Amino acid sequence: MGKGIRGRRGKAVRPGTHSETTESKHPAGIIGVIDVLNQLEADGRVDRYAIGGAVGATFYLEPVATQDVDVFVAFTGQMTQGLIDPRPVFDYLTAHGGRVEGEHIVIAGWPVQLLPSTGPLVDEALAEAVTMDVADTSARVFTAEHLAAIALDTGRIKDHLRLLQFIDTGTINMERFEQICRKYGLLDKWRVFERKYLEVNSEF
Amino acid sequence: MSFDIQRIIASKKAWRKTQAQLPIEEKLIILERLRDRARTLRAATKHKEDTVVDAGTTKSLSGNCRSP
Repeated sequence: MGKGIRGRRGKAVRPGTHSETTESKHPAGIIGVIDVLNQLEADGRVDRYAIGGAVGATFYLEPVATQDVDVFVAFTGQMTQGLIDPRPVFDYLTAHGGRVEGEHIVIAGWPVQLLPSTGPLVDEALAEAVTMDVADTSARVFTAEHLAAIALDTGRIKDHLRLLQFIDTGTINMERFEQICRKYGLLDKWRVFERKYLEVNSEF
Repeated sequence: MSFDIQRIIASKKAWRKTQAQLPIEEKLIILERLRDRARTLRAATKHKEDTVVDAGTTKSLSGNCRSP
């Protein structure tokens, strides 16, 4: 866990290599967010991060408009009275140029939503997230099958649209996806989804 | 120009596939542009920044929309 992330210019991200308190060291935009996340993990403030949501899906699908970057983090070791204490992470990010805005922290111009694991499905998604090259750095992203399963589980209209995109483009391994659904009690939801969207309409 | 709906659907599907196959760096740039465009549209239509509509209930957290 926490291995394999590569920093800018192909170098491994080393702890403490970004100790200045300015955001200007990072490029603007999502690449800048990825830089900060890599450093956050390298400095041991989170055990592991992975990008999910619309930005995560963009690694596999056509880009779709989104207002923020959903980042799932394993906060192990930061429990206070049995609850996750995200303050050390927020303190670290604000010390590195982040700005708290409501439930987001703005990094490199993008509102970033840091999300703890909500259960075993996200735990597995975090553990099995893959490292992908982006420009001259790398990012950890949920697998397409986990993104699809989380979309099914979340179940909003935009999540269903995303799941349809994954299916329509043949991006996900259906056998693996159904395996995840079975493991995490999502088969009923999947059957309902199939009946609703896939049995009548072959196109959307 | 054709109004053949099947051709239009096929064309859109092909375009989506092309978009999906772009290098991730290009797709992230598109994301930035889409967000900027959405912000411009929102500002032009004077929607509140924090409006979140639950599609299931058509309720709005900020009160901009009302249940039918």
